[in-house]
Amino acid sequence: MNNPFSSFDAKSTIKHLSEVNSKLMKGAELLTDIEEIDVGTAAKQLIYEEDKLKLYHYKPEAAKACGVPILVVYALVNRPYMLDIQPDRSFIRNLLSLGLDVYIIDWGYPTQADRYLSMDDYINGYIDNCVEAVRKNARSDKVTLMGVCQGGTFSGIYSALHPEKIHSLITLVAPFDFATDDGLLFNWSKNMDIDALVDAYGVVPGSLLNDGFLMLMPFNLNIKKYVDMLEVVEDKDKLLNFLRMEKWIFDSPGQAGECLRQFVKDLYQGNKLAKGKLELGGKTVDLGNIKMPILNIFASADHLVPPEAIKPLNDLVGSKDKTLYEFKGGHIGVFVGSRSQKELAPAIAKWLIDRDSSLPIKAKETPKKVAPAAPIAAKTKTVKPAAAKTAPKKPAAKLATAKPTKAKVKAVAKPKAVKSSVPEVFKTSFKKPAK
Amino acid sequence: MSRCPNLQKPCLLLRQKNIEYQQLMQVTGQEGMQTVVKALASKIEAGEKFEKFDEFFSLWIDINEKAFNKLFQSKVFSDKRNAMTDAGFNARKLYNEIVESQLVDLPIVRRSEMDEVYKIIYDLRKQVKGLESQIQELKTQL
Repeated sequence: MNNPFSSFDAKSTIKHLSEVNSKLMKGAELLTDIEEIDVGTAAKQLIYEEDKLKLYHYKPEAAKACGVPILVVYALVNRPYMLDIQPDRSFIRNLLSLGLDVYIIDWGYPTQADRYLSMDDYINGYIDNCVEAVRKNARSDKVTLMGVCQGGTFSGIYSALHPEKIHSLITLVAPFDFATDDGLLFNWSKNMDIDALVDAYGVVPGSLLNDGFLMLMPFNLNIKKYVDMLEVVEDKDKLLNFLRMEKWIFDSPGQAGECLRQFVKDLYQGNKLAKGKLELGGKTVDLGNIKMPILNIFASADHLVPPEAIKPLNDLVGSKDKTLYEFKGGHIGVFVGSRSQKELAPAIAKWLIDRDSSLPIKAKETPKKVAPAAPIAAKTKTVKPAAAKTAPKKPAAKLATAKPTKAKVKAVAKPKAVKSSVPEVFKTSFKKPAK
Repeated sequence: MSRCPNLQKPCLLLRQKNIEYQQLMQVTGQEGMQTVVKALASKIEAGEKFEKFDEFFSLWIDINEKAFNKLFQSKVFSDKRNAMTDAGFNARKLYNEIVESQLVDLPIVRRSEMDEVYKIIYDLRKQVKGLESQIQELKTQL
């Protein structure tokens, strides 16, 4: 019988410890050299502000490929700079380099003075005002809403209440059907006393919610991650990458109590949005009112928002042009993963450009770069093959536009060809709307 | 103490719920370690070795992560956790009330008074924003 640790002889153990110490020393030196952990560095301009909210317009990085501006609505939890965490892993820069016109809402950090802000204030107030500001700034009748996580849920609700202002809706890892018990957050939230939480704090501290997120994978997120850091601690660039993510993870704004109360009660506990019973601003939110094109993106290994909470949106909306996109990865990997950089932004750009009738076709075919940005070669390479084969079936009205849609519709009828030629699978739901 | 007679009971309840919660976590941690030991025993029996410390560390992490994930998925954990946090929130709420009652005679603004002000500001802001948009609409109509 052997001791499984017998290979851990004194010599190798001392050598290992010595290496660890050396790494730690070098890491400590590097850490003292790092003056700033820079995040969200893509150039942008403030175009509107209200209370603590700020609306930014990103500086274009390529000739415009899509005439409809995109308004990114991030979740109230954590900060939106995750979408532009560093120059070579920037979802935003990728969209810009493909010729999209991008705006983003920064919700700011609520204080006790904001404790009474409700979902109605965020959706019919702030988002609506931002949509108006974008329409005005871009001189566009409509905008594309791109909502992330909770921001996607808000975007869906907004699109159902104000469909006349929305050209198309893109939701990324956003929950709509809260009936599932698959995700731990969904499980835990079902029976929690949200009144006790909100009444105790007013504005619920972000750190309190963060503790819950860290408990979802306690050993990996609280221990292994920091042990793994030793592998990168000697490399300044890699260490900075690690620190940027750490900064983002622990940069958690507080949550306006009344908004959180309604979000948990009506959605997590009551599932009222999927049931068509959610009331907001005196109106019932009917997702069937969403008739614009929608692109619903979920991550197959999402431990925060399980696919079962995301996918049903395509059956609840009234749109005929609806696309379900599976990203093989986790909740955060959708935005910062290396595969995401190559695949997701180009797929989104392609989807949007296909549905844009405001610019001449010539401009849409080859977005010309003005300034260099992250993985360029990969981006253009992925867009082009996807162009002819992955576009979803379009309504008749769309077919009448001057776009080469016939070939696309034909290609969709041959799913095998699609699978074999593109890295990510576009899945198109042709189910009739539930309503 | 005469001015805060109600805090003792909620604090006891919180302590009780916290102990129940911690016990659940500790039992799961023990079970995880037992599984690690079993995995080690089977390695010994198979004559296998860990070439690096990282291999053992990964085994330890994986087993414990699975054990806790299983616990977190269970209804009993959800119930115990909610009971603990709810007791904590209620105790905090009561504690705030007691602190305020102690400060009532001092010339300082209390949280509840600020909340009243915040509510008034919130309502007024809403009114102003509503009126502004009405004015804007009227302007465009003219």
